[in-house]
Amino acid sequence: MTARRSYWLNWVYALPALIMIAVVNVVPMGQTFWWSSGFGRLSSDSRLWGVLRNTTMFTFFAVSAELVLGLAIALLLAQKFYGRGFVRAAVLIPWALPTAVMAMAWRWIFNADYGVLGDIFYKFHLSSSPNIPWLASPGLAFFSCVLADVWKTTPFMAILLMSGLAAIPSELYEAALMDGAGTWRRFWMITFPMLKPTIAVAVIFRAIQTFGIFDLIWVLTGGGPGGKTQTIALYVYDVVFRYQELGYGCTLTLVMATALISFSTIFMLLLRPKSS
Amino acid sequence: MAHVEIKNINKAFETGKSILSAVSFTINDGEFVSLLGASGCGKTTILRIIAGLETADSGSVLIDGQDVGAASPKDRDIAMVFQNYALYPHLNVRENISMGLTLRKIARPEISRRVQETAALLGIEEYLDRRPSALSGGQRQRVALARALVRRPKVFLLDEPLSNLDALLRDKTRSELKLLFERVKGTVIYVTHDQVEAMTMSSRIIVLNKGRIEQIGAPQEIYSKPRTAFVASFLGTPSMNLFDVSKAIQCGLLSQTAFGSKSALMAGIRPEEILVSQRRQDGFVEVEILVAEPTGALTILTLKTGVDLRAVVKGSFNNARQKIWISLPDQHLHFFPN
Ligand SMILES: Nc1ncnc2c1ncn2[C@@H]1O[C@H](COP(=O)(O)OP(=O)(O)O)[C@@H](O)[C@H]1O
Ligand SMILES: [Mg+2]
Repeated sequence: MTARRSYWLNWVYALPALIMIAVVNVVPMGQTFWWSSGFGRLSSDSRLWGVLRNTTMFTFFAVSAELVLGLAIALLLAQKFYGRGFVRAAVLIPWALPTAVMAMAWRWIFNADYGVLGDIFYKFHLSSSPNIPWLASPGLAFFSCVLADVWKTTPFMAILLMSGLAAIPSELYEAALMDGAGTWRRFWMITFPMLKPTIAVAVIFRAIQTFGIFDLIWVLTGGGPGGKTQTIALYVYDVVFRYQELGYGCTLTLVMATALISFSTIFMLLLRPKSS
Repeated sequence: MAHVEIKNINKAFETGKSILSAVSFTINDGEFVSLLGASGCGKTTILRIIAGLETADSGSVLIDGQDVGAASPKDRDIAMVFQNYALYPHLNVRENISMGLTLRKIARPEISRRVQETAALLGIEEYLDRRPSALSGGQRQRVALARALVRRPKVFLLDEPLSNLDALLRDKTRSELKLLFERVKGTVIYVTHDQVEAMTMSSRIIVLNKGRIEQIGAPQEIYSKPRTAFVASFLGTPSMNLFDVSKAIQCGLLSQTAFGSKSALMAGIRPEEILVSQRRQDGFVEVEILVAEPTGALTILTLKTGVDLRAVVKGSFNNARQKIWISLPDQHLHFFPN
């Protein structure tokens, strides 16, 4: 077969997938641009800035906590111990659960009247009453949502980081051991620098996902109380479906995309490997 | 500088699959000893046990008479050059070399003096500020050596340090290494699968086969008096001819009267010790040449006899008739239990 013919054949084989992508991705994207209107409203929209701040804060807290916890879990599970295979599988469970289902479970856990979390706080004398309004209090709701999100997505982070750890040659640690480096020193001298590319990919990936979070918060608080947990995706939903303002909703979506693209670019530049 | 004693080391990673059995040897102060064996025979495992990176199932490691079994790798005062160098990729050459000193809390001026001195010794001063990724294979290997040398440890463990270099550089570096360790009077255990390295560099060779020591001795001794058929075939290129005495008697290469009593044994003779003649001679046997391989200075002849036999002759070899006469001199025959 000539190279030219195989070139065209490749496109033919890819065509069904390309059509699918065009229908579900490219067309809606084009429509978003086409329908978007009311750009002038962006600067005067007082809700928007609060929502953007919520979303950014949520992304920052959730992804930071996930990174720290995920790294700790990955480092633990990289050790050899009895029953490691079982623990590795068990750690993945939260991530495998459908978000809506686990969010319902967390609603029970957070329930002010019969939730188990309030009870635990009460039993450990961290609170004078078991009735803590985790989701209804303006001060607590935000962090309750962060906690539930961290619980669900830390395993994913841990798995990504574990694959990065596995790629570090063990001789490096042995050389460090002979040089007299302790655990802490070995981490900063070998593990962290060699894991940086993996961390970058994992953080960008998770940040993009978290920035667009909808389902978990929708089930837990619906954006309340008083908009304290409203993220941009929930706001877009409100604008389009509650206030029936499709044009402005599309504009907000474009704002969200712009924010994500700039964040990813900045982060990639920051963690770019130094060329020597 | 130190005296190293390995006593009866046994190791199995999985029960029943012995990797090292009853390994014992002694290395004297300032001695350069090679551990020679095929890939997978347990050489690296021995080094790792001496370094404390692996624990033996039984047996002990003594350095200057002291059992170091309980000591951690950093407290054994041993430096190891890893097969793939294991340089810290995110530190520059200077930091790579000095890390072992920095972590041992040596004073800064002393560190920089020693790093400079070692870098000069190995000719890598120009690269001190580079990352390992910006170095060639040969330069990385020097940095790995410098990292070991700068510490002035009691013992150097080198794990196939030349195996990642190309052939030309390997030959050059071999003699340099030998000089280098003579100069610093280091006690060196040098792991290699390359018999030429072992023969040329070491004062003694430990030949290892499947986790067992086959023979320990000076290079010439191991070459001329191999104790087992394995050692005999492992050293020398082309390798020693090995064959059953009974078969050689059958095809007339050995005489029944002289060797009949040894017919249960295996005999060996080095290809270069076989006498080759172009003409019929007394006591010579006529054989056919299957293949003649000229290598430049020598030609290797594969012969058609009742046993597998190769002979080596000087220079190029022209023989249109494909026939020669050979004789196996008694004094060059080795015998091994079959
Ligand atoms: N950590 C380990 N776990 C299981 N088997 C191992 C381990 N390290 C080495 N081995 C096995 O031990 C044998 C000897 O290995 P090694 O000492 O590296 O050989 P060499 O250095 O002579 O090539 C090999 O068969 C290898 O597969
Ligand atoms: Mg090895």
